[in-house]
Amino acid sequence: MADTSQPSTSTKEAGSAKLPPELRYIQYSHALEKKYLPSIRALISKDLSEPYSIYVYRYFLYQWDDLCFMAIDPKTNALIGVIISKLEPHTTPSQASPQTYRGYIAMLAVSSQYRNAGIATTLVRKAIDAMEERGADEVVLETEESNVPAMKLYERLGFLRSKKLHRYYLNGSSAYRLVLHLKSVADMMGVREDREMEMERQMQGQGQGGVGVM
Amino acid sequence: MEDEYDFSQSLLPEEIIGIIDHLLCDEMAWHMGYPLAQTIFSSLYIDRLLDPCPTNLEQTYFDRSESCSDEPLNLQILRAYCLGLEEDFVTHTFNRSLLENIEHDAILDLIAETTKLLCDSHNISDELKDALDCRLTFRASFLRTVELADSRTSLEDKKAHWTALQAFLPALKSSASLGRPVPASFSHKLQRKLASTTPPRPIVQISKEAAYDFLERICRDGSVAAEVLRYYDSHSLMQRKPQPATYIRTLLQHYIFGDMTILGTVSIRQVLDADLASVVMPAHMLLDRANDEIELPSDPRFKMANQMEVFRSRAAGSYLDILRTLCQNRCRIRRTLCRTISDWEVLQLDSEELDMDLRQYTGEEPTVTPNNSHEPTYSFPLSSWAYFYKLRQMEWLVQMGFELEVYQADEHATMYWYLQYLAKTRSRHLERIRGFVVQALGENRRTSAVSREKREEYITALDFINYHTLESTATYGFADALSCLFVVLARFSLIQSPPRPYSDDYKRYEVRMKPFQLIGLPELIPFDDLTKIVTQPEGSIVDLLQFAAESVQGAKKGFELLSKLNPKEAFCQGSHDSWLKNVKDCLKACIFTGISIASVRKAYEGMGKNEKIKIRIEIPTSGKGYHGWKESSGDERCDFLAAAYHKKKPNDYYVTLPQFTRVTYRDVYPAIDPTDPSNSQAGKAVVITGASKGLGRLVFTPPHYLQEYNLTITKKPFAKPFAKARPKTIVLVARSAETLETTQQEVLSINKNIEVLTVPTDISSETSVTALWDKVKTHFGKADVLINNAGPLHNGTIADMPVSKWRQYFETNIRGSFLQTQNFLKPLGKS
Repeated sequence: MADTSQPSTSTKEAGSAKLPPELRYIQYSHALEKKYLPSIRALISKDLSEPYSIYVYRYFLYQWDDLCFMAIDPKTNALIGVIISKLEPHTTPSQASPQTYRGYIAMLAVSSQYRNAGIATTLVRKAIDAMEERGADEVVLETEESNVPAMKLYERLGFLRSKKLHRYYLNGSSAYRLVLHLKSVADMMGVREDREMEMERQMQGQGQGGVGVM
Repeated sequence: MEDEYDFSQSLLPEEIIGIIDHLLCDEMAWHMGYPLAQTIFSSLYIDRLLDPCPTNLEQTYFDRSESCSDEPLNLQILRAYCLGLEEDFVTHTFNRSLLENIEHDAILDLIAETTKLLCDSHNISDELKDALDCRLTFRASFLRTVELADSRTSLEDKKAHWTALQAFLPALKSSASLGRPVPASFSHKLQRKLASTTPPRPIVQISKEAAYDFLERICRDGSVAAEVLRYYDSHSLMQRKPQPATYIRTLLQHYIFGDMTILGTVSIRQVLDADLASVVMPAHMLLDRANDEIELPSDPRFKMANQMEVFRSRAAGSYLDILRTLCQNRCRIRRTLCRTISDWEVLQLDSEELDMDLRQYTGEEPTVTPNNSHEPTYSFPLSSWAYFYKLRQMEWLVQMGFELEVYQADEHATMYWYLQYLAKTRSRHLERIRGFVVQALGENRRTSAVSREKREEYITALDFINYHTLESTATYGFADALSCLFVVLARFSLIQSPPRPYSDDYKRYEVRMKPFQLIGLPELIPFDDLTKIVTQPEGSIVDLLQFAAESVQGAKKGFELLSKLNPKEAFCQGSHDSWLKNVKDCLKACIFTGISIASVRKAYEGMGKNEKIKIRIEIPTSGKGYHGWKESSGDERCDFLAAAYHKKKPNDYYVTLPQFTRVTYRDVYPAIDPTDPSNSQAGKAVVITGASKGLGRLVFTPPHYLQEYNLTITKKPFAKPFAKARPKTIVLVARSAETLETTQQEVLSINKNIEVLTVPTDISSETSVTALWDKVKTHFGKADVLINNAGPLHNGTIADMPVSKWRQYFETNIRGSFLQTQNFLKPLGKS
């Protein structure tokens, strides 16, 4: 794959749970880096097969800190789960389809003893809600083909597998790309721009020129 | 970072070995499929060589402050090795050209020269000398072997080179312990310099053992890959299913394509022309090589040759893409197909224009062919060809979606339906092509003696069409059966959809159908229509299961027939074994599906009111290469592909399947032409029994699809020709009044002056037959012609035919025909 080369998500929903009564979900921000980045890294590197350097974390967190959410134990302030994502315009290499405003879920992890309690699902929903609020057209991600719980989680929310990626991960296993359209294709960003340009052209053609487009 | 690395520092011979072996590991990791950025490009020395891109060997010194004369020998060895490493069969180079300005020969010379210097040097121990020498020679040999891929040497030569390369392995392995690693000379930070938007990823490290093993596999596979050089025909190339990983596929590509020739000996033009001839235009004037010789610009043949060159240059790229695509891994094949089908869409449109333009030179007249509509049409040979391949690739795309387990359980009904829709479209398209090919052959035979070569071309094309008709029929039969089965399972809530709060059916439809969105033909079925046609809300469970059972039964037969084809007939020469295995797997899958359908039916029939069906469905997540599903009542498993049959069979289903002559002639010659005056039935009364047949899926298909789908009531081989022969009256006889009405309309659409009488009759009943002939008597006095066509047919062998059924057929076929004939003759005898 030339375009993206990214992380897997792991939410093996097994394990026991002595869940704290009220979990706290908070949005990450730069101010929290000192406090939480080390535990984010620790949590993710424990669960995901893919090793990530600090640069990978910074790549996401510097640009899209508002799309990172954490589940915190209110008593101990310990990190229980985290999701890291990004959102940016996306153009397919072939130019075959229009540009979209595409969300991407890079990493998702929940501490093993708290699994099977819907924490991962809540984190994903928070990330998708935040993306939707910012006008995302679609959300994509990759997950290891062997990670059935993660695939089930995403498919329950509405994701579809769009393609399989051969030997995607360093450990040699393949991945599925999962896609969720938040809008119908006709309402997506690139298409709308085309339409506006078309309208503009028509108006100029009619000699009415100079009509602004919002 | 590389700024801090001192390229002028001298290295120990052990360190050179260490770096070289590290690079070998990187190289093998890259061959395994990891990106260059995470492997070879992490070496600072390699980076130094390539950035900026050198234009000659003088510019490849690691230490740019020094002149070439005093480069330490050790560094020269490393440099020579690194240069040798940069063979150039990479597609994914992050905008870095790999020494494209430097000839291989110059590098080989440098390696040879360095080897000599090494031999003469006295400061290195013999052991280290041997180790370095072995590595340099290995590199030179590798480079030469790869270079051979481009060349046109014999396949024995190529095999020999791979074997020679393999012989280096023991020496490489045994001397590896001498090396001393230089970790500072590799850095993942180099990725920042590469043109890529992805975040940095760690360096891939594989063990030396793994690297050696992989190298050995490369050598072994390399000599096997050379086998592909035995070219049979273009279709056989496509049937090839390469199993080896990345590397050998690259090699295959190299063997298949090098300088616009395929397999080193056959030109792309030859392959393309042979393909065109075997699919749509056997012995066609457009493919006549003699056209090239015409120099007079006003001669139509000159124009044809010119336009065909335009077409070839336009089509060659897309055509080769198919072969190229098939050299990739299964995941990538599917992704590439998403892109190539839109290329073929454009190619088809372009070819259509060429087809129209070429008519002024070929003088083609529109015609009605036996397998076509009643409207005279042109053959559109070039765009027909493009359409055929486009359909094929669209089917592959869906099939591989199943194979790679891309579809979720509740998508299966729809995707199987889409597969059968595409396969059926291909089948219909083949009928159209067959019509024109047969007609061309007929015309040829009328006007002149057909030469042996030309006849061969016709036979190949008809073989090809027959093969694909059978294969596509088998595919849609199986897909149809599975689609119905999954619909039934969904009705029992045995397949459930997740809640999906962020999505809806329409948006998921858009995700799934995205690859087809840009395709104009066959048209993407709109969401609402697709939902309706797949779920068949009006069809009862019994109907659906009955239809599924019949479809899969027919599909099974189709695969049985396919499995008996020889490699030439199946167009899979050189890869018959893997092709046959695939067909047999499909056959097995059909059998299991049949059993599954039967057990679902049994469970349904045994189900009490308000009771839940006692079946548990399990869709396994594993399944190597094939998609399958299980249910608890057995260990049934079924594959995604399948077999021939539908209640609407192709027009010549029974003709082509068991035929023992290679060519079927179906042109209408004067002696049998119903419109020929000598065959006129003017004034006569004609009785045709069995006048309606093959309702098939009509029962639960929305009417507007009948048209698009060409699901007309099939097989009235008598009614239509007789209508053309203009008799006074036609009496249509069959069991159901309703179906007779359709036939009646068809007769009237051909000739509305014919008086048509429809009489629903049970031929096996004496009273029913007498009633029929009483009616004939009151209306017309007597009949002039009786076509005793009615008669059921058992789709199977004597061995599996129930006696009761045989009895019933006997009643209809023998006694019924007798009763008919007797009643027909009675009034004639008196007059």
